[in-house]
Amino acid sequence: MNKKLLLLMLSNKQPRRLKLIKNLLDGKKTVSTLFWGSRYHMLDYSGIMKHFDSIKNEDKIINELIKYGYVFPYDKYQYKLTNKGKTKKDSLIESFYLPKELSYGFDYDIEEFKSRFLLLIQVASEYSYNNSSYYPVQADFYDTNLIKAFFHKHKNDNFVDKIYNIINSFLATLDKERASIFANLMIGHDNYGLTYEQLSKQYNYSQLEIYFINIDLWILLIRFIKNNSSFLKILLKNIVKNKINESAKRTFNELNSGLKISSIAKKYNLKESTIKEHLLENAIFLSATEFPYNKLLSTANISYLNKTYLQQPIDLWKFSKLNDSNIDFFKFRLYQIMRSK
Amino acid sequence: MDYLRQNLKKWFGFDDFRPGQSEVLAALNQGKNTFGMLPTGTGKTLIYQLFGLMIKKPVVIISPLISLMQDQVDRMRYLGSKNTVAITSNLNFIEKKRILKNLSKYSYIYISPEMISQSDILESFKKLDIGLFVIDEAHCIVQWGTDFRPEYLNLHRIINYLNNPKVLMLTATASKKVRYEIVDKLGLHNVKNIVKSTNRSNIMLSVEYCDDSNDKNNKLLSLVNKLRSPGIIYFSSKKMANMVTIFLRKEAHLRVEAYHSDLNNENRYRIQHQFMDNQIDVICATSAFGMGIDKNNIRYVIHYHMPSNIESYVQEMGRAGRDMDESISIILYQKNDEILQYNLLMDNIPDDDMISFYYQNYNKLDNNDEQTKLLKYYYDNGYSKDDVTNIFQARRLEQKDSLAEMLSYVLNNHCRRKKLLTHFDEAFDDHNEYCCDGNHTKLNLQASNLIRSNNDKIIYKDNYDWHSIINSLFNKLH
Repeated sequence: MNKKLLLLMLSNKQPRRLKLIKNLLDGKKTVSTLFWGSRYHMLDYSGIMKHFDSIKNEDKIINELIKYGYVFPYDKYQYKLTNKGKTKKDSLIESFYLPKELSYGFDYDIEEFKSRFLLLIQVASEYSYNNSSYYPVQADFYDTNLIKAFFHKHKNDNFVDKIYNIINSFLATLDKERASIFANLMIGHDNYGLTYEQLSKQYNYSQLEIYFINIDLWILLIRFIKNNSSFLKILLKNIVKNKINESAKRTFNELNSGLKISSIAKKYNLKESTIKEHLLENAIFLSATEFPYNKLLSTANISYLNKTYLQQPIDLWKFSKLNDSNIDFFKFRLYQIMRSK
Repeated sequence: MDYLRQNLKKWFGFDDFRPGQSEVLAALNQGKNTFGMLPTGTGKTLIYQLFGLMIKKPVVIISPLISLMQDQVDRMRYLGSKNTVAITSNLNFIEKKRILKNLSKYSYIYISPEMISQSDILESFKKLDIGLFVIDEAHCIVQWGTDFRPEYLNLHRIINYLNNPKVLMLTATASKKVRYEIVDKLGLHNVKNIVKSTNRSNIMLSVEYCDDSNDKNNKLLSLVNKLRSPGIIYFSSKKMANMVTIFLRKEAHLRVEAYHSDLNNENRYRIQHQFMDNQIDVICATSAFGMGIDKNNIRYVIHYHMPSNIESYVQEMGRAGRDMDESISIILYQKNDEILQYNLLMDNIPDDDMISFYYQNYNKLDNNDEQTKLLKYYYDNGYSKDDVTNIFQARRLEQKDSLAEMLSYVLNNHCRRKKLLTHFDEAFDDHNEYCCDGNHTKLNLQASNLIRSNNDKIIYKDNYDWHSIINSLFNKLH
């Protein structure tokens, strides 16, 4: 992983787990990753490295950061920034491009959307030159058929002009540099665009930053189409997904309709522990008022927990302190989430 | 014959066939199983494309590489055969089912030996009235049959199961022995052989001997500065391809890009087409590059690492000069380069310990890596541990022999073309200054128009304004 990125993901106030940061950026969605991701205020970044290069040599990078005096090990697994590291981080926040358009509540299937959009632009571009003999950019079977059908339905109805106008009005909303980068991603008649590496040379960004700029550009385009173009809405099919997965959402609805954890597990033939994970996932992403904590934590539970962890920072709570009570790890974690809100 | 040529004109607009094409078509027309060995760059695709048009029945093409298959499908569509499909592991369950249900609607179906070995797929093919069963890059049956692609050995049974459709085997590189083995492994009889010379007389052959890796890099730099672009440099490792790309960009002031399996689909597309469009001068590639690409004006192919056998060498250097203009193939050889190749080869074949381990623990292993997958195939097909040990032992020896033969080509100081063609049982006696740099010959690069001149200006892309890019994309410049 890029040294700068890791530095940006660490803090001088809060010790953070290296493995956890790696798993979060790689898109692992275990409850523990999501919980600590929210504690680190990094949930937006969940999965951002999934389509770039999985993080492999994080131990080596952290050692280099320690050698430079930016980082020190807090314990065996956690690291903190030194004052020097904090200063470096502050200057990086100014100079390093991190995605700005990520959403707390939604995941965007950028890869899928991109492959649809690139094919659409190519089809329109070649059509504008009356050329039907060309090598199409690769898209999977579904997306190819989607674009093909769309093209045949609309090709006789100012198809090229419509797409041309949409893309022009979208690019007009961007600053000059990002508009130019976006234009250089397009593939069409006698035009093959630039690779990340070529873009990185041309615009003086690292390849990782170019990749992050890409993420932002595609999200902006998705939102632009959503708000401004009913014509291209078909491209958004299955692209914007709720961060809470479908079965977790189902569990949440069942809880709200009055079912107990054990009954939900029985109804869907799942383990109770799975149902509990579903509920924790919901609690992490929903606001304090949206989640019915009182259905799962009794007043007695809450007052016991309040007393046990009085005035301790949430990150440092130990479950082992509850050994003598009847409060299980699920309730402990749920309370931790509640208090984090 | 005239009938064939009329069809060629009608569908492709060409007046004449390239060497071997019409003979193969004639043999197929007579209903014969046919082996076509035609040199690289002679349009083997056109043969089955045209035959499919003439018989109006589906053509099934067994193809070795998924990445190549997609290139081929794109090319067939590009050439006008839109009803072409590839059945690969990239398809999901529903897509696969849909294609299999409509199989007879496709005129050209590309598939790998692994895929066609699956029973549901094979059943769908059985219902098909197959007009021609093509085995593309047929040398792979022998080259890859025993190590990482054992399913190639199934083809014999598959052909029988499909009621023995007419078979066309195509390759550019197979010695008499290899040709015999291919036909034997497929269990075919009365095969009509159409064998054309492997010789590519417009490609000069050269080997440069280097003292060490510094010397090799300097020689490479001076070659790419001197020779007319575009060119391909082949490497055995992605890491070296990347390193030399950076080195050449810095030192040679050329547009250089690396190309190998680390690229994602999108970048692969961009680089292939930038190269086709002459926006790139040099590609630093591993052998993943080029099996499907069809660029006519490649002036040189340089091997930074020697290939591991003569067949691969002929395939790779055959990328040059498809426009029939003078071109050159250069191998950069440094003492002990063959050891790198040897290690790579041996890494691909499970050793005795690995085989023992697998046979003792087969039920505990997940078959994720290539070697366990390979062993699983033999295990599932009832081979004993000793059988497998012997098969791989023999394979190691064969590969060692092939490498030794390649090395003997590299170290040979006499006419290189003669040496190369001997491997394919061909005679050659026309050595001169356009042939090779064996026999202490100095190649006449100047007269061959292979030296870069001042007119070969490199035009760097300079248009980064989004308005004009978008206008040019949608034909709005005027």
